[in-house]
Amino acid sequence: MSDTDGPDELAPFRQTLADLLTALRKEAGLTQEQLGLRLGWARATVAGAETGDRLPGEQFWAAANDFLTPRGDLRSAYAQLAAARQDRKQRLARQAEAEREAKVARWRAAHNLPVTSAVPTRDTEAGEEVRQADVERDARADARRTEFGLPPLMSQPAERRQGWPATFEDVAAAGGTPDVPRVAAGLAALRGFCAALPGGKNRQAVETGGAELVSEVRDTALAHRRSYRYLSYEALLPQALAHLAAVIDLRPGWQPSAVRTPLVAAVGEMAALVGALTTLDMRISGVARAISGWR
Amino acid sequence: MALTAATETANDDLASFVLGVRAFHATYRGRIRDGLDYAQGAASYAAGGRASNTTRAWLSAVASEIFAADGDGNRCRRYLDEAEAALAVAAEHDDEPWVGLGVFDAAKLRAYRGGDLSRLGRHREAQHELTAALDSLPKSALKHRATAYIDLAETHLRLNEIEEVCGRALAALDLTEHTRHADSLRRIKLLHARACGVDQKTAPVRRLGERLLVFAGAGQQ
Repeated sequence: MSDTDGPDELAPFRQTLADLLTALRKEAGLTQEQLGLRLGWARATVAGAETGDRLPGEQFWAAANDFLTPRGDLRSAYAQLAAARQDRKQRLARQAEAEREAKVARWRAAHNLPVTSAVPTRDTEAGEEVRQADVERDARADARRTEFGLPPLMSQPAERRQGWPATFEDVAAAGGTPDVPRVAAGLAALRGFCAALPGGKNRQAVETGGAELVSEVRDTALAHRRSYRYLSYEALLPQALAHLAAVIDLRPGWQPSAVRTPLVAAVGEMAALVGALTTLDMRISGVARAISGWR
Repeated sequence: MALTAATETANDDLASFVLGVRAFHATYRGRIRDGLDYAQGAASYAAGGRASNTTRAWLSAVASEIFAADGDGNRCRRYLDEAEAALAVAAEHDDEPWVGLGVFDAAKLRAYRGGDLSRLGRHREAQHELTAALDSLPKSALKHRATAYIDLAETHLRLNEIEEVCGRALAALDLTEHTRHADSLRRIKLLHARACGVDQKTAPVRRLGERLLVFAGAGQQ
């Protein structure tokens, strides 16, 4: 059983794939080590694939298929597994969202807040507002992307769209200056959000748009982490510190768990980034000690 | 702060990543034993918890690098294999974006493998891996590419191929001028000093020295 597939409606798909690989390898008269060498993977990867313990990704199966059989058996068996896995993932996501909803409802009840969905799902009436907000945000994002000569967001596949706000790579690839425009926009939104909160009642964040807030915070943190690969510490460190300060300003400890957990995670991620920039990029460990307590 | 946040939110991915950076930090400061302790601890923590496959792969690669620096080829190889196995399943199983910095993918793992082979004294194999890694690493991965060029230059230095040393070091310096990554610059300066020790009068060595001077001058402006 693989790490994340769980028990185990997917077992028959994995077993088919594993058995097929074993049979084709034996037909070809190869050991696991020899097949691994031909495909450019470790023997352990082939062994994991044949037991079904740790199934490798699509690239492996495509290579194995092309090497072992002219028919496409492995590709097709893998496609069936991938489809089943996707179905299962969507179902689990729906369950998790329902559980989150219930948790938020309990929190709201404990704090005498009206019983409306704090973080609206797409299936509720409030979800319509969220959908509309998504559309408007995508439209704003498209306008921003056009400035950098990038293809419109609306034409991107769904999984690409989820990751887009995080990537400065597109900006760099299009020859733009990696001056973190998205982060600046994200931070501005965040600060506006904080400013709009009633004094001393930041926990009401969840009522006024917790989902959007969390999304901005996580996207911005991710953007900082990814841009590490090409931004100098001079460019990135102030941004990371500003984001850290902005998230701390939101008083994560006062928020309900659905909002607190991602906010605290963002604090940790930015602290780690600051630590890495100061110790690895700048080699000034005194600063890192002061900020993150590293030795 | 990072570790506290990770603990508070039971975020095994972040916690093991922070331990991995600590391993790097200790090793960069010359405390290889501490680095090994952190790296092995982080790898086993990640394996026992809910860290993502990409984080596990990265931690194994970090451990392999430190074992290579310690001259332990067997454990280095073992961790590289673990990294490869974890990365192979990451694309399918990791739902969240990687918690780490920059990118960690097959190309970067290949660069780790090349760097490890270089540290273990297998210079020709290292050159093959590093060249392949440079072909695959995206142009935007400036820091990762600079590290690969420096590792490559070090293999040429061990083989007394001074012209190649300077060529690779210059390529790394081009990238480091943008990233200003202190450890990359330190290693390039070291390469230049060692190349001077072999033959300081050749044109490539002089050119590298001049570029370093210009870079140092620009930094003081």
